[in-house]
Amino acid sequence: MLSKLWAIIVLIFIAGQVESQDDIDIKLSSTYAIQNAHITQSPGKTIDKGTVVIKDGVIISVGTNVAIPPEAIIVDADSLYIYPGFIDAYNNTGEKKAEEKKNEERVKNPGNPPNDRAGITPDRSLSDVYDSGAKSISDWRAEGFTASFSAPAEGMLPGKASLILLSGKDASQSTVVKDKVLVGTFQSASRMYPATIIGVMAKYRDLFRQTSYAMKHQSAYDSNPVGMSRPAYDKSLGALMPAADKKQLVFMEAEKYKDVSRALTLQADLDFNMALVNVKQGTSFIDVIKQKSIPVVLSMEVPESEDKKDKKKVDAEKEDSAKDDEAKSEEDEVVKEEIDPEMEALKARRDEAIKDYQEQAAMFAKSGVKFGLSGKDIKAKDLKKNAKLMMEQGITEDQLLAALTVNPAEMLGVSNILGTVEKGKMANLVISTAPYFEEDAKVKYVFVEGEQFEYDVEKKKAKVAGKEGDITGLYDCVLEVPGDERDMKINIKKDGDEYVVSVENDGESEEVESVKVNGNSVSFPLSVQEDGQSLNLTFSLTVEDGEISGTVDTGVFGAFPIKGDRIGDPKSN
Amino acid sequence: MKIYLNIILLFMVFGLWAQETGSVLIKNGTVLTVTNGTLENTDVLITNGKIARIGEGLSAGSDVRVIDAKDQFVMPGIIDAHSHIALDAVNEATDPSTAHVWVGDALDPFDVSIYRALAGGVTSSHAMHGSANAIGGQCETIKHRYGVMDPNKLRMKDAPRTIKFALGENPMRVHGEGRGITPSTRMGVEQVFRRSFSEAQEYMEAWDNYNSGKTKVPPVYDLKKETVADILKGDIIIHCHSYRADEILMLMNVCKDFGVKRLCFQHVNEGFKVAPELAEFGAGASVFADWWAYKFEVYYSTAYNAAILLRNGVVASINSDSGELIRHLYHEAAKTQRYGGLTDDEALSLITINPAKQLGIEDRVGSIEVGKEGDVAIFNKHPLSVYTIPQYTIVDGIVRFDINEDPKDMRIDIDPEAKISTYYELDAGHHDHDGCMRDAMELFTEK
Amino acid sequence: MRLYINVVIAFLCANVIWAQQIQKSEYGTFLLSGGTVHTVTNGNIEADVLISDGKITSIGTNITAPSGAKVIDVAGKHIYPGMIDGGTRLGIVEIGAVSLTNDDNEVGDINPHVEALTAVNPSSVLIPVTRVSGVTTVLTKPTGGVLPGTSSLISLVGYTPEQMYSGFDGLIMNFPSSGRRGWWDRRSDEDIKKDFDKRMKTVNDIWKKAEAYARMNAEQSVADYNPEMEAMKPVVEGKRTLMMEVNSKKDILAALEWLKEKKDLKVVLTGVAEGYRVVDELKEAGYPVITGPILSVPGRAEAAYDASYTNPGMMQKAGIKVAIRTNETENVRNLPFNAGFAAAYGMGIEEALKAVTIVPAEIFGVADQYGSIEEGKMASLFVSDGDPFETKTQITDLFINGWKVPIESRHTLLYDEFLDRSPGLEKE
Repeated sequence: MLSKLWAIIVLIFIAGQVESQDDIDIKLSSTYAIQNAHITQSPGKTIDKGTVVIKDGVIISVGTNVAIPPEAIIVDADSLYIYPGFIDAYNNTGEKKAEEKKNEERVKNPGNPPNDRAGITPDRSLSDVYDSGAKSISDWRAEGFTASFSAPAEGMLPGKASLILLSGKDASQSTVVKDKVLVGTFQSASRMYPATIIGVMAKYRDLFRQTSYAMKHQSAYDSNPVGMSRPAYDKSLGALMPAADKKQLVFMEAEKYKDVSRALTLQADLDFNMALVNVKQGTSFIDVIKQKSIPVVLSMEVPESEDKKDKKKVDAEKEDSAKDDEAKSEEDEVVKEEIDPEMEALKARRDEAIKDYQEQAAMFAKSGVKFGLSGKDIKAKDLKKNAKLMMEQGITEDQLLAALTVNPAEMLGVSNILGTVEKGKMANLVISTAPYFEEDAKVKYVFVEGEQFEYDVEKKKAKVAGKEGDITGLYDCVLEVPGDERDMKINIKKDGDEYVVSVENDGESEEVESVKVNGNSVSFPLSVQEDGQSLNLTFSLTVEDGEISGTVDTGVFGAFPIKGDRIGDPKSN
Repeated sequence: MKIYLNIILLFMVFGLWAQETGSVLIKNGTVLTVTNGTLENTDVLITNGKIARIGEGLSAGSDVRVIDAKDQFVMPGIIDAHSHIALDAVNEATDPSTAHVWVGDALDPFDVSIYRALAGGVTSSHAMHGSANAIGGQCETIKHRYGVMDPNKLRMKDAPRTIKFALGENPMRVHGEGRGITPSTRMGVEQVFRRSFSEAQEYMEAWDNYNSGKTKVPPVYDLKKETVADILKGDIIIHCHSYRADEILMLMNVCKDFGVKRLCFQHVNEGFKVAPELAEFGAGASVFADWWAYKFEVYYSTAYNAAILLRNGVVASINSDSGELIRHLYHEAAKTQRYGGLTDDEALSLITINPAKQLGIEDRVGSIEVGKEGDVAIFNKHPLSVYTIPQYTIVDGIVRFDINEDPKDMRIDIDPEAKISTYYELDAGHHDHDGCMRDAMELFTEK
Repeated sequence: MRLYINVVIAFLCANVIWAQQIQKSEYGTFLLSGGTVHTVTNGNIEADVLISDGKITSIGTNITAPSGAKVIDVAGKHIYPGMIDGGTRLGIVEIGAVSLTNDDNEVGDINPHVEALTAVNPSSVLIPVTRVSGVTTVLTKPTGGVLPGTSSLISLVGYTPEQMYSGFDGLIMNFPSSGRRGWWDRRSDEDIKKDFDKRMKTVNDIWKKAEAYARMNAEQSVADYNPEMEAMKPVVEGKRTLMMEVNSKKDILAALEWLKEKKDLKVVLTGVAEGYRVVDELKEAGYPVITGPILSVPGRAEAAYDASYTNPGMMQKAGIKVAIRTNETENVRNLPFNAGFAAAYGMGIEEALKAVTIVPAEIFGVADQYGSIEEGKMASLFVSDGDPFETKTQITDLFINGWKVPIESRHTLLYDEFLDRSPGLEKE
């Protein structure tokens, strides 16, 4: 009895990831009329009860009183909210999962390794690494993103970014603008040059200057080749030429303060057109950025105060006076640190630092710098949580919306087709059940170039806490494996004095043996076989306040976190 | 980004941290000028970052901070000719020659070691590439303007360019032993220099031919060769990690052959054996006060090294090469009084004017003279006494360390993701002798 | 011709050997006449000191030199007891980077039975370099693992470990640490916790076994041969000192907690770098402390820049018995400077001097022999032209266990040879 889940876990490690096949849709028409919705055409510009008509991927009319073509599929959007489809201003969305590099041959000369081994692949295009079925595409789409400025990842010059639509179509169909900008990072190579930040900086200088001279050589040769050696073609230098010639923008990934500073140093040294992207600690540079009109993409990743999380925990504990001291000593460290003034001061300092990160977007907005947002370092589903943290620091909904729509469209030179809900624009829409940034809002529809995606907005089953000290129940769990999440249910019931645990996935349920229960901890092994390979999993879980959490240890591949909510009493069989 | 409250307080009370120069009047101190003897009961006025006047009964505008240095000792800001603090990377250990890299690209203004150095009276240091490669990267002379955010503001503007070379065990270990390539012997180390220098000569010639129109095709631009060419042109001072007498002589011979004159040896534990030769060449020697025996090439050492070098006419200095020693270089210099009986002025010169000479900044810092930069350290007892405690450290006229206004937690940039506090065990009994090898060994420790 | 070459070679070798050879020590009767005696235990007095048969036989004014006594005029000079470093690797490590010269770290976590004294090299070049600074006695200790071995107190004179042995052995325990080992330690927080738990379990397991072993063998030996247990037995019985290395606040508290359940042990806490953060708890527990190096970087980025300098003074002022160590090998000679910094940063000169003389002697239970200048004690003392903590001061005469040891070491010999090198630049 092998459920699909285990097969997937095994396959992730043994044979790479397996994609499930999408259901086939029967399409009646490519014209839609989305009626009676609250429409935000662009930040600050709204229509209270209006209709959007789209045809063949283009918005053909927007307004309160528009003609509905007879072939239109009617979408009743009464009480729904329409926004321009969001644009991720910088990400690696759509990139194929990197295959495990199998025993790559050791580089012969680590001081001068081949460019592609050293992370220098400016000639790479997203389409070289694109996977139309990549989970990142559907994940971001589900949050309302319809386009992404997307590049290959890894290395100091990972390649060029293309503007793609998150339709899940193949590369040629989903690419709007190919290889629009060059991406640069400060990532060093492993065990070869450039192995450190100083190596990376030197390599930029070498590459850009070599490119300039290569261009000179080429143009001299083009004008009169007689008696001159023919310029050797170097694909890296070739790919750098537009940037070195200031004809192509360079997206420099610059997360922290020192990264931004180093990017500015390089730009001043080598004189290229630069945008700062995935910026997390850039507030101090607002003036410089303004003065030099440097385009900016801020990171959507914002840290959250541990303290707040701890407080929740401690508060819960305080309420729970029934707990004996024994159990409390488990949390000893947290509690002790709470009352230690030294620790308090240190925590306050860290919270101060966290706040600096959280308020970055608000500070940029306040100073009038337009910026896009990058989802590179967050999971799509965390977008709203992070947006909330940013808004708590003073950025307005309209400013945030602009950063997800009109700003990136403008920055990327596609504001004639993207970024607003207006006649003539591409039919990229996100439609939510409430104003998008409200907590309860759910995305119901997303249109990508006129193609409709519908989402289940049913509320997830609410948490049903069990009785104090009782760990039995049905738990809806998520297992996090690298780059992916898998759902499963764990059922814990009591049969006499014995605990019986079963794990369910895709309707298949498997009862496990040798369950160990100790207080509110549960652990059990599970062996999985596939193609003669066997994987011994060990679940170690703790139940607390209607939540279950812990790890699944796979042995050789390490342990992965699992957590879930109690959604009901245990199933009896 | 905001600086923490404590620091903001400091900032408000005492001159603006973020600024780069300031004014301060130091009254009634015992001034150890180093180059011009000791002046009792003397005032030093620093105006806009420069020493404006030295004398008695000086006054300044009401907005200028006055420090009462009665019964205290005022000396030039200490200079460390060899350190690795304030750096995010030390070794690009991937090749026996990495002249193209530059640690000035990796400055870390948030390194709390800068403050700890200030609290030991050190106002400038030579932030160096490590010693993994025969030809290491270029270094950066920095001023300890702790509190500035911008890495560029740490630089000592217009200080001469310097580059790290390394002889002996370290490059042999990393490249010879670690990777099975030259150099695995001191013979091989010599050839790395000769080859690099010769290639740079050819490179310069190729560019001369292109620039004068003799050839139409531009040579392939090569930052490594560009840098070595600048050494040959005399634009970069070589600072060479070295220990043994033979290798010291070797590098001097190579330099003679290629006309390179600006040379300072670092560590140079056996420098005392070839002190006459070093003096004749005019090479500097920047040494440890007493480090020895941590590896074979320093087994035949003596703590009297600095004294022997100085007495033989070599421009010698005492350096730290360590985030620990840099906090008490005044004490390290004082050890030359136990080991060799140097005078106070001689001992002080080892951490002031002499390292300044080795870095080519002696016309700007290293002594208390009118016109020099306002880098000053004030001690409650004579700085060569073991019982002395630094009170104030002033960089370009700005008080960067004040013992009475020390908030203890001096971190500037706090990682929001990291643990609230982390304890680092002192590696029991093992000093940071390999600070010079940071980022190097992990490259080659596979299996 | 051949003969001639041999003669030349012999001559050259002789020369080299001569240049590196240290004069012999002398034994006998010595009268130090006219100095200031810093007794440590009985104040400073102007007095003569008579040394014979290895001991301080008399302290007083106008002592008449016995016949055959060598009289050393120390007028205007100072006599101090030899300094004791409570934690070093002197004698068992020669050259740090040459692993085959390192005898401090045996394979494995549990080596209570290995003894530092076994591996002490009396001819270590490092020993003369150390003693000419006035450090006459050191604890040399194994390192690495949970129970690295047994340390020994040695005097820095003699040609066999037995001659050097000075009456104390202590079992070293590296109490599990929850900190990071350095900037290069890239373990995750979870891994650190795991390692800590694992080591804690190791400690507890071995301790339980040792207690059981001691109980079984209390009357007569009944258990199987077990050298590890044999070495632990006197420790769990409280007959041999347990030296627990512990540094961070959290670890110190954990160690004190661990010790609460143990009865009647002889315990010394070593390291104790963050002792200043838990002075009340340390005071209450009452264990003596050997702390150092004082010249070290604080263990936390947010700690005060001078935390390591002020730590010994803060502990001592709180009433804790504090000795100072260098934790060094080749630079144990910096013990007086470590004490000097501690003195300047709160401990005061007098207490700092005790922390490198009588206090460690008391901790090691050898205060009847070492640690002060008193009649009947071993003659381990030195003469200087000033305060030995001050860098300027020169040590002029040195006695260890009654031996008059020459003020010579590799460092002084190289100085003598090379200050004015000949031949100089020219070849003649």
